[in-house]
Amino acid sequence: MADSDLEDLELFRTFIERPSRRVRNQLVERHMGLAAHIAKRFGRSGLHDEDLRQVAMLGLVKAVDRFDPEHGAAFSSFAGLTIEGELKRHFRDTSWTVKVPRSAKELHLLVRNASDELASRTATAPTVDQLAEHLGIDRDDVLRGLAASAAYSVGTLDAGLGGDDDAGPTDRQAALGDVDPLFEHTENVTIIDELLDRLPDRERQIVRLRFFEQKTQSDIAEEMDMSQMHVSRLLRRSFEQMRTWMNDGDDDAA
Amino acid sequence: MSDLAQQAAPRAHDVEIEVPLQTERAVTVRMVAASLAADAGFSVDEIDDLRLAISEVFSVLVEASPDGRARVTFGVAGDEVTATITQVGGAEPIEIDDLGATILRAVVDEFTVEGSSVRLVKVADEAKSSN
Repeated sequence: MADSDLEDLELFRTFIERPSRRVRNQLVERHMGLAAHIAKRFGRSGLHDEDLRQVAMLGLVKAVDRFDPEHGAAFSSFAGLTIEGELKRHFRDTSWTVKVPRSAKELHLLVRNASDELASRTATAPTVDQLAEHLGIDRDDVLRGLAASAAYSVGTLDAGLGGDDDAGPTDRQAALGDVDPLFEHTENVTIIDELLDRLPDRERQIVRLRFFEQKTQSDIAEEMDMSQMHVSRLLRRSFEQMRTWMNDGDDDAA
Repeated sequence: MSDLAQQAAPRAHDVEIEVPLQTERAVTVRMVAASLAADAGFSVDEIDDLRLAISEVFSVLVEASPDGRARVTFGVAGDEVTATITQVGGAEPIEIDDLGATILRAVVDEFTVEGSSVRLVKVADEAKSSN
């Protein structure tokens, strides 16, 4: 047995003879590193790390309370198993395990954050593989997270722009949806401008950068100080909105 | 009858799906596109651009033929993804209006319209330059 194990043994004998908070804390403190280490092994990419650390600490406290020094095993081995058991139970109870598919919303948040982080590190948009590796999740899940970007809008979306996940037209859409009397008479060349003019300022600026300056979504994200996924979402909605306006214009003209 | 998709026999590695021309099915096509683009090493930006392009073409087709079907053929060659979207049994040629053309020009490297097919080509530039 290693020296530290023998010290543990001494402390445990003291603790069992005269249970005291001080000795208990001492035993816990001596193995906090172990708990943190195991928690880290169970965690990935900074996600829920603090939660896992807490669970591991709980496992450690339980181990201290349950350990029988006369059993012959070193406390460190016993604690390791107890902490692992506690973590596994946590995963089971929260239905959150390494292989259990996460909700699209969680994936979206994960992917969005990772995407921003990687993009700021390398100044280029990451690939799906890079995201998958960074997050330690399947490529499928990265794709699901990316696909969910339209459904789970976070941040400051302009409420006036309805996407496919919005129930009905907002007041603003209703107001803008009316065909401009000038619309039918404008030349083709200016139709794009006309449609752009109907967009809210920020969306118009983003679409302009994409249309006329050939900026990538990441470029725009940087320029507008927002996430790439936010740009993606605003672009999509703007395109859809312009398409709707365009088609409505056609219908009215026909 | 000069559809791009019919002209060229599908290549061995092509992926082909056929979907009803319903707005909700654009999601399905976008997912397949995203998956293939990921295989080709596209960045998140580029995948999204391809998805935007597919959405746009899909909207045009849905508007033109709400009860029709579309066949989408994807080809992946190196870091290039091609998506050919064909209106199944489409009698009328597809027309891409100014808005459509402007959107497609902005998000894909190349697009061609022929008969009832629209062909989109997107190359993973960013991935190439960052490697």
